[in-house]
Amino acid sequence: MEPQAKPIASTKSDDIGSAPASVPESATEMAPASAMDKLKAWLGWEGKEHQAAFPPNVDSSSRETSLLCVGQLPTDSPAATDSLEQCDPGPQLSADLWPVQFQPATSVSQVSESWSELAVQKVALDGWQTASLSLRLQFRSPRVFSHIFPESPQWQVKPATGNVAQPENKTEANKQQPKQERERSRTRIKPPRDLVKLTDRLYYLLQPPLETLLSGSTLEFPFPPFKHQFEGVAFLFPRQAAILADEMGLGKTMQAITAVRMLLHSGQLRSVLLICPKPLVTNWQREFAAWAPEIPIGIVEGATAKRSYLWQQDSTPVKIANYELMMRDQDEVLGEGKHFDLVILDEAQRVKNANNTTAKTVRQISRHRSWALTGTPIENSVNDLHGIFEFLMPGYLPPGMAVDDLAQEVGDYVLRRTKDLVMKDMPPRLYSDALLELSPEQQDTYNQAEESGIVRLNDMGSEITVQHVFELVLRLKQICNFDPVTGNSSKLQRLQADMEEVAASGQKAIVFSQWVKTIDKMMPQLQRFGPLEYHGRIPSNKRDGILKQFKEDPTKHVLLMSYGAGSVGLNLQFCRYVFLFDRWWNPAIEDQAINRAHRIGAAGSVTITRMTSENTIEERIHSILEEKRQLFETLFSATSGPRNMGLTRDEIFGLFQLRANGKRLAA
Amino acid sequence: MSLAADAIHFGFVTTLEMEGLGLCGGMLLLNPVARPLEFHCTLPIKPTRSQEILYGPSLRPFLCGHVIAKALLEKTKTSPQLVVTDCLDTANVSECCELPLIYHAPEVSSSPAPGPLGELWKPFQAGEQEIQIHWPAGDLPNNLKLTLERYGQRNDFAEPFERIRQAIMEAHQVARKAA
Repeated sequence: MEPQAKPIASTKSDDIGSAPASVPESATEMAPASAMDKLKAWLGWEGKEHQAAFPPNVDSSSRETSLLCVGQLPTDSPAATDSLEQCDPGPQLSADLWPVQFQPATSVSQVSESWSELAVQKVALDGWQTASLSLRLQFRSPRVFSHIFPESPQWQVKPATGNVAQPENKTEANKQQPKQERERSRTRIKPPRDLVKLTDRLYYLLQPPLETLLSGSTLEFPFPPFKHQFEGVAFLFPRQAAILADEMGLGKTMQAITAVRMLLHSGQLRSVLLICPKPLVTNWQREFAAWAPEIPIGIVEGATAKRSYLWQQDSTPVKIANYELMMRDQDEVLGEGKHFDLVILDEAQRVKNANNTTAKTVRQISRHRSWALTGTPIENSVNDLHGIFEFLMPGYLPPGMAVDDLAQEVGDYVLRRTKDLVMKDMPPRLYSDALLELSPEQQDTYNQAEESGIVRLNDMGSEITVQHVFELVLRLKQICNFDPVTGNSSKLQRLQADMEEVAASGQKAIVFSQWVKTIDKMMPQLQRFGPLEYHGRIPSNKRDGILKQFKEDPTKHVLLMSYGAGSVGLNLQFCRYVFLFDRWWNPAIEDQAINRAHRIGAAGSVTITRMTSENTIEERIHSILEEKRQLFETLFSATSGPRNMGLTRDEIFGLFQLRANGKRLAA
Repeated sequence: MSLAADAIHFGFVTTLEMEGLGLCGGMLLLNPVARPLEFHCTLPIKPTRSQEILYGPSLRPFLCGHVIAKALLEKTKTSPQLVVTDCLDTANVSECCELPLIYHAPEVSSSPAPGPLGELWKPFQAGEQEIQIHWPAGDLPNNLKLTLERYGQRNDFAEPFERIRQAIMEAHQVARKAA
């Protein structure tokens, strides 16, 4: 067997399988001792019996390594077997000859430095069976996927100035928070499920956390947003269709404004139409001034000609209009060429009935994105949600879907948080159920009205409708508030007693009633507490002044509101007491009313006194609604299912033990 | 480093092991307020058995630095002024890249932060964050210090790597669905 050796420089990767052209016989021309020693040390071969010739030549620029090795390893080396089997094609070795297994201990660069000292190496292999094996190690440059972000000229990098309420102090955060906590405090924008294109998904996925994005920009905040608010903004930001259904008081307005603001600044929006109930227009105006002062907004209001002019104006990126105008200004808002990048419906339950004219009109508005804000996406049945989705994505929800399927389908489009869930440090709501006996005069009147009313209903036989029953209920509820003959009211007496305490402690209270007439009757009796009233008969242009006076005037301790006018959109978190003088049909509406006071910024616990007259229709309604509330809590937490909270037709009939066909139930 | 601090672009480069697929690299080019400008990621590289044997422990640094990171840097349309990595193997790119390279050790509670990486690496305090800079040419210039301090005060050096990892996983999922 001839020993094989080869000058390092002449080794080529294409030598695979071929014998060296020139092989000195029985000679061992060693490389300089130091280099050889280094090489041996690197290979871990010092003092070992293996003999080899190996002219490796690593050229990192070409990423190619050529190696010729000759030698013998123990045949029981499994590693050697594996390596042989998986090597690039090379010469077949005999069964007892194996390639050398290397054990390098240094980096490639260090090795290549060592090798540069090697010139020629020849190894005598007398008595050994030899063969040669050449391997070509080539690393091709990997394929690279690239995504270039569209840069918006408006999203400028400017040093933040002035009174910027940063979302958080990053330096402090970095210093004090451990890694996991820091990661939790970062709010990332996640691409929605229906976004399919990879580049679109990466656009959102690779955006910095909102906290970083906002702290590094010129966007100023009146106070640092809460974590759940950042999450809400991150939810809205990438979505074409979304329902922000947070419980009242969690700051839906601020979240929507901030998302709009970011989209405007990043150049993704140019025109936004916000539609809200008329009484809330000024509230939105105020909130925009607070949360996005640099964004010009236009309020569409006034006479027809003025509105027409305002609809045509393109100088304001955000237009605010009320629902009532949608019908009157149909020609303008649906006119040819009229398009909005985003249409937001506030209190979107207004379009829950997909067949009403307003709902039909807003569905026809030409737009790219559609968002709905509502604290009660389902007030009575899942049909409410269908109605809202008809605005967001017409036809997306087929009628008659099973609740579980529905929950799954809408999951990615709806974000709902409750205060209990996200505002663990928020002051508590303290419920106090005041079950009050009617005054003797009220009781007499009530009994007479109920008996005669039921007799009348029974006499109607099959002519009876739910409307007839409703009328009786309303009549009885009014008597529970005030005796129509004497004006006597056990509820008012209780309210006066409680108000003494509220006023004495310098606090303020809101009293809700279903009827303006009830408010009229309360007003003179509560004069010593400086009452103010806020309901449908108060002109819109005076309402803000009333709220301002209530907030700032220390002699005004009580605000009497109707559910209709005061249950949505108002911020009265300085009030610590809420009285529900009479009860609404639907607890969702009551919740909205309560949340005027119990919302972010609430100074302390909010006490809610729910007044119910004992042994009356009110108590019966209360029992039914409480049972439903319990049922909802169970269902909603488990399945995110619908919230059927109002009274059904059968339940209304059942209040007087009547069947829907008008027959009285057996006792 | 004659650019204004507000015009400096940071290239965050890292490599991650995709189970069963090999090594994947990702690079995110950011402006000074951490907004993304470019993203590049490689297809996974899986060395052959012979490559594994012959490179031994030097294989991973070579792949991460010389092959993956280098390929990613070559793909950028806007060249970064600073390259940041959280991967020691990827830091090997310093041998084939002339840009200042910053190493930010990932925060792993179970192991202590690594000591100085070598003579060519200068430790630096960027805000409250400790980093090391591959800088063979004497002392760090003041404008580089200022840039890093500003960035470190406003941003977390570790955060962009989370984005890269998520994006690589996302790209991978999409590719898998498409396949």
